[in-house]
Amino acid sequence: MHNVKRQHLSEQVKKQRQLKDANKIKSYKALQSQVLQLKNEQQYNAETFKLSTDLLYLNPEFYTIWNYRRDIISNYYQKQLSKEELIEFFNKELGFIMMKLKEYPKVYWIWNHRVWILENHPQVDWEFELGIVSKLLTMDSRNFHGWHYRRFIISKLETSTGESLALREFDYTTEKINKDFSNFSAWHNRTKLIPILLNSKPTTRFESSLGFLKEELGYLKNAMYTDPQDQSVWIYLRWLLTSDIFIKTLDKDTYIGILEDELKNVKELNELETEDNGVENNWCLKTIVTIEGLLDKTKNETKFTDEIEKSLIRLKDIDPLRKNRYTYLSENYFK
Amino acid sequence: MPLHKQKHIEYIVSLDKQQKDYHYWATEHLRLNGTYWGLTALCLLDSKDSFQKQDIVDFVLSCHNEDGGFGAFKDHDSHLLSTLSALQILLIYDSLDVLSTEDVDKLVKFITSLQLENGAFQGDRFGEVDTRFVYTAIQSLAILGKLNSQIVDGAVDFIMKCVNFDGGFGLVPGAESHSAQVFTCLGTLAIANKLDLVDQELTGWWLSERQVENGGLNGRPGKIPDVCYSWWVLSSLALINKLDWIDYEKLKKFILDCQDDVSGGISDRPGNQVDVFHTIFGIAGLSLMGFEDLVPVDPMYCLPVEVSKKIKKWPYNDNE
Amino acid sequence: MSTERRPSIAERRSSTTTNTRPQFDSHLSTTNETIYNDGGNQQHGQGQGQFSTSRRPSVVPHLAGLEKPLPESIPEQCDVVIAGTGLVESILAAALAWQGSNVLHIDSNDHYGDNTATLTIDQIKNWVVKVNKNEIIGFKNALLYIPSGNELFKSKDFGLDLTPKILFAKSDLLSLLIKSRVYKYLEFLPLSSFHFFENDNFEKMSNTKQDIFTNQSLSLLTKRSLMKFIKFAIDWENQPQIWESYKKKPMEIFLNEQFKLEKPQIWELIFSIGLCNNLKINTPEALLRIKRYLISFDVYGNFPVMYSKYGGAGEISQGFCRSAAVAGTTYKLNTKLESFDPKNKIAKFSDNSRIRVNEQIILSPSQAPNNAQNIPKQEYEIQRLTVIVKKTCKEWFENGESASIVVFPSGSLSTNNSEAVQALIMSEETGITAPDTCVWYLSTTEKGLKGRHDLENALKKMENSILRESSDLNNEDELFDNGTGILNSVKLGQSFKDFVPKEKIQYLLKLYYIQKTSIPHADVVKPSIYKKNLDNNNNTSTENKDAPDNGVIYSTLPSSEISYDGIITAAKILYEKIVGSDDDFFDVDFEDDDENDENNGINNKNNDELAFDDDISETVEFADDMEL
Repeated sequence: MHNVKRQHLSEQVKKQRQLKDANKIKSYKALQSQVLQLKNEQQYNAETFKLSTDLLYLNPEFYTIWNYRRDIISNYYQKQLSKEELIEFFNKELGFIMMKLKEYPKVYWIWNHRVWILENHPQVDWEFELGIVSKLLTMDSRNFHGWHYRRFIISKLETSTGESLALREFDYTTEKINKDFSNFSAWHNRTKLIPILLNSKPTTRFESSLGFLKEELGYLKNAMYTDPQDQSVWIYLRWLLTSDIFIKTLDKDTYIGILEDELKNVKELNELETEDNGVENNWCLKTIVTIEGLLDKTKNETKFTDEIEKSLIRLKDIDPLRKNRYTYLSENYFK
Repeated sequence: MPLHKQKHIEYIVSLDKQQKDYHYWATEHLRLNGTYWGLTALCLLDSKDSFQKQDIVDFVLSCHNEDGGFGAFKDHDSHLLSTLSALQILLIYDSLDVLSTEDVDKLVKFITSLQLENGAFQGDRFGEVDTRFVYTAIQSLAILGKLNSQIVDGAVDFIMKCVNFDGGFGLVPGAESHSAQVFTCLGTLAIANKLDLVDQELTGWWLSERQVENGGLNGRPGKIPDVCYSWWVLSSLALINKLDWIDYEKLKKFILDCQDDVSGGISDRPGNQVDVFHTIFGIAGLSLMGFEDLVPVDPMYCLPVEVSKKIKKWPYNDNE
Repeated sequence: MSTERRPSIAERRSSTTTNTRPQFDSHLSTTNETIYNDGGNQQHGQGQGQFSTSRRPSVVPHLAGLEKPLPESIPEQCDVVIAGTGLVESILAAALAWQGSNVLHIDSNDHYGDNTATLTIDQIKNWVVKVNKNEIIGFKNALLYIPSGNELFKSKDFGLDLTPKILFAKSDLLSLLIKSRVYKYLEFLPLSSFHFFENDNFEKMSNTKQDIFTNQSLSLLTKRSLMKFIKFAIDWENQPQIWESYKKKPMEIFLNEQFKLEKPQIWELIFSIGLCNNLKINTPEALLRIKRYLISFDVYGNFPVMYSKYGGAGEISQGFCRSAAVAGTTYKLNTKLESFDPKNKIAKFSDNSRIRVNEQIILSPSQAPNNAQNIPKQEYEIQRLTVIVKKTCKEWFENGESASIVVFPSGSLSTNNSEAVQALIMSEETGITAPDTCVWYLSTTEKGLKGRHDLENALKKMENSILRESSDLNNEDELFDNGTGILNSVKLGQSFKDFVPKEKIQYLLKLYYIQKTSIPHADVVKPSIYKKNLDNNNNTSTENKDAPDNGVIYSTLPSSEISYDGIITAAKILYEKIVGSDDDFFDVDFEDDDENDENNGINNKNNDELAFDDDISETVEFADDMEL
């Protein structure tokens, strides 16, 4: 099981535990069969709703019961309650879900139920939902359920107001990255937001793709120097250097200039690393290969062929886990 | 550490004899999936007969619902996840014929009714969308031999919207790349015979970077390794013919270190509690690397190659 | 003069909770592992012979608190007598009690805490009088200044620590607080601002990856070197090849030669992160201190240290006393050891009662009987200056926090100090002082008059700083660099050299004293400090023959260390001297573990067919911490 320490119980302890489990099993099974029977009978009322709550307390992953709960809501509450009452009811349900999410932040079924509730809620406070997910991402900044949910909330907010929130979300990624630039989830979101911003140009910062790119490369350089081992940064650099949003808007010479500057930067850092550690930094070297390849491709040259081949040979040594990939690249780059 | 085959077989067989543990009852919503994981692991360990075929087939049928789909247990609702498990088990046992023509028609209807306009699939009628469900739907239809261009093309369109700049795939368009999602997306494309749409060198690069110093594979940059990614990452690499872009020996050691050498089974990381989920994906990973005499597994379906041979390959020549 | 009691922790507990309070509950489950492994057949104390396991309760009940009334008289016999309710002694009492020993715990004061007590103003007044009458061993030269005009404040609004301390989030004391459940009696608040005084400036340190990354005044090369060092320091023990040749050399040289760091960063690391007293500290000692800071980050949140609300060591020692009481320890305040006869093992007390001590007497030097002959020499000194100011000082705290640390490194004061001055600032939210006031605890290991001048000078700097920062001189307190969106607070960084304050700081109290100890500064607590005194059998000196403290073991007076480091080591050494080994030090199963176990049954499963899981190490905390 994920993150549960292994233990081997003695027969005696196993027995003790089973003895303790016996009562739990009995009441769990009784509740489960009662609820499933009521479900088969299509009983939709306040009492069955309450029973579903009890069962979900015991087992929040019992998807069938979440389904039953939604059927009770559609067939009973949505028919019986006035709009005001319904709002109150749904808000209470959101509270219940939040409690479950606090305990089980990675259970798909609970997230799914929250989305369904919001889709059916007569009056959602989307800003509040955004606040909740921000709080969650403060606690676990990589939770992909959380990021997924955030994008869902944002699209709802954008639809309801008709205004783009891309700039606000961009600032949010900056905030997350400043807290921890190893947070690739934030860098990833940036790659989705920047094209929108460079197209819509909400502020002067996004007026020119060249200006933005240079600024972003400066920001990234800061991170590269702070921790040259951090792969998030290098992966994001690759996006900056290969994304159409830049390549297609810059003239060729400017693009080549950017690549050459970056090549120089990374080489300098790699030299510092080699000086200190006695060995090259594998991410620097990988990036050097990538940039040299991009330069050759853009200029339609083979200027770096020898360099690249030499680098790939060194990479086999300093990054042996992936040595077959480097062999493949040597063989295929020059064929 | 050697591979404790016999212990793993005993562990898997013991799973259904734990009725005295609360845990057993609290995981009923995973029983059909768990049965598929266990059975496939037994197949790869060449011990298929350790389960009683008739019992298992009867159990699968007990999960069959009126709407045509399968739930994870008797009286549990149908879902694409449990439906695929049911079909995989029946295929392994050559028992698809327990489903009548009428059953199959209903089942196909159940699955295809879950496809949305953009080609994606929702897991059931409540609307959760995820590339996992595209894969489960497409493989289920493939097992039944009921794919058609409309369904396949829609699915492929949707999958290609989930690809990211780094070569990975997310759970919906816009989502961060995740190893498991890469598997479901490449798997779908493979079944659809459309892997040529992918920049395979780029995807291979991202996948190969999942291997960390201790040999294990992680799901995303900067996360810690976990045995289940031995399957998600390796099968993906296998689908694009780049299986050797990671270090076999170190990964084998990582998986073997996660074995419980006392009572069998494999865990997510060394020293943790084992479960059948990590047991199958650890063994399937080893099988992909050609470990000892494990039965070969098909990276496209997570089924023994002998079993997946029976699946009709798309595009169908006869009617398309 | 009234000596009213500060409310006990039990009385205060439910009163306030804050949102920023670190939560420990998520970590309880980590102690579960041991529960089932030994099948409930623990054989504590075995092998030592003298303790039967039967005295130890098989299952520990919930810590209900110290509800039992104090006994009318002292029992006829016990295993261990501990005199002094200071922190080390209280932990020892609880550990022995849970191990199964029959403990009598006494204190000559009318309050708990002894030399680590948390005191009200009235109690301070009494204490100062006693110190200056030489009635309190371990403290001297106390000076108290309370200006008139503060009648509005009540004595018990305040709780001043005699030995103020901070708690690293990853430390042995914190682990013990959790394991022993004593944390349940306490509340902890986070502290993340460590300021550093240089060139008449308070600098905010760059000590985390986040700070280094966003700090615009550091060069790229410095960022790289600093980060490299931080990564190294977290695992320095395993990389001897890097530091071994600096084993006997000062840290300053090591940082400069091995990591090419320059003075500002070196000093920050040594004085602020490492909280070292001077530049003489050797490389391994400094690395140890720097590491404890680094690994404490992000254990409970984005801060390295915490402190207990309503008072530090005094509050925590009371918590352990309650735990000891639950385990059966007898408590008696206002009681002093008169003498001990090692031959017939009879101890006599100031109330004329007597008791047979089967095993051992542990005696704090501060509780030594009159005419004691064996008190260890207290050769080290700490000078303390504690003031209460009428200022909120919120300019010095991180958002949502109520305390901070300011360090004045060697040579940073006008007195050209050679030892650092460390200051702990605590505001009203810490529960130790009245509304709109702040306590500043300053201390130094400098000796004599020079030390006092250093403290006064540091106080002056702090005064000027807070006056300048709390006056609304300009609006550029916070700078946003639009280019990168990086926030950089320059509030504390701006020079106030030329600032002439228009107002004066108002003091409610100023307290100066010297504290003595036998523990060397910035050193690790070593077993050799604790010796059993001569008993009659091998008494070679005739002069000491009838000393009232023969045969006892003296504990130590608190060290100069600003953290709680060394406390547990001291308690364990004493424990081992009594029990024979520290293997079962607080090796206790608590009943309430069961609840966690039940949750585990259905907790961490997340396995759909294709449900995959990431590293979930952070989520348990999230689950517990999340407040909406």
